[in-house]
Amino acid sequence: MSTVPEPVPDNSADDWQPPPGMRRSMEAYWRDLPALLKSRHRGKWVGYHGDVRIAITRTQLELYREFDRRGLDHSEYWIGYIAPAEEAPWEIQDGDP
Amino acid sequence: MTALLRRMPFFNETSFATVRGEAVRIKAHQIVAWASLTLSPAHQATTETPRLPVILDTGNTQSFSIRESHLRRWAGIEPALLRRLGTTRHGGRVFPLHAAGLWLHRNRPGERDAFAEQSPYFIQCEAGVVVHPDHAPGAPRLPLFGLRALEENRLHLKVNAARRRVSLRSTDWVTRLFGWW
Repeated sequence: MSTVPEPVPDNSADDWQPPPGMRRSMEAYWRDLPALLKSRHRGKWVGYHGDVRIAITRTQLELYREFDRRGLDHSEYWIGYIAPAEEAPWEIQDGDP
Repeated sequence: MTALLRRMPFFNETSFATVRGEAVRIKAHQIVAWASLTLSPAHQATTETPRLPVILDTGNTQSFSIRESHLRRWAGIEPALLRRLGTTRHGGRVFPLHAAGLWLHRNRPGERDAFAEQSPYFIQCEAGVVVHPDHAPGAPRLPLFGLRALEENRLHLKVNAARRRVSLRSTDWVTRLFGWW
């Protein structure tokens, strides 16, 4: 006897958007990325708080600790990797899986 | 240079690992290491932080993928407490990306389920970790450690398939100087 598969819940309505502070920081990262890729900082990490670039570091952890030290909430900043990227961080990332 | 996995074995037959008292089946030909998750990347994991098995999966384009129940039961983290970073799409469905501290445990050389005494190694993830609802099609059977994590951490993976051994290390000064792959 065959069984009817359970319907898969449709979650395409997930319309999450980054909080405004994080989004502004993402946009600053995305704006600066082409120039950063041409610099000696490729492969490093860069942190933004709104439009302000806080630092470029060798490790992401240094930036997390710096934002923590400044008492900033994660919803206010963005830490980006300096490498080519196809999608802006606020866009849906194509992944597998 | 930091050695993360040293001659870690994988097997051509089914094996089992114990996670919080639960026997977990590892299929033949799966490379499994051990990781920990913390609520925030700024929270340091220790050798006492709960460990969970992760499949080293270079076919996975994410840094790390885990199903909700493993996050709760094995890592002791309630998914709703993780900070959302973004969204990823796979198979026509969307999944949340969350900030979390991901840490890789170093193995005792030549062993898979025994650990070196050093602290776990922080794994940098720009986009965060993917959390799959348990009911979602394609939710990973075990957590997956993807190629993006290797890339964003500039790690060097060596698979000796003839001996079924895996080594993983960070970039050292020789690599930086000469650009040897």
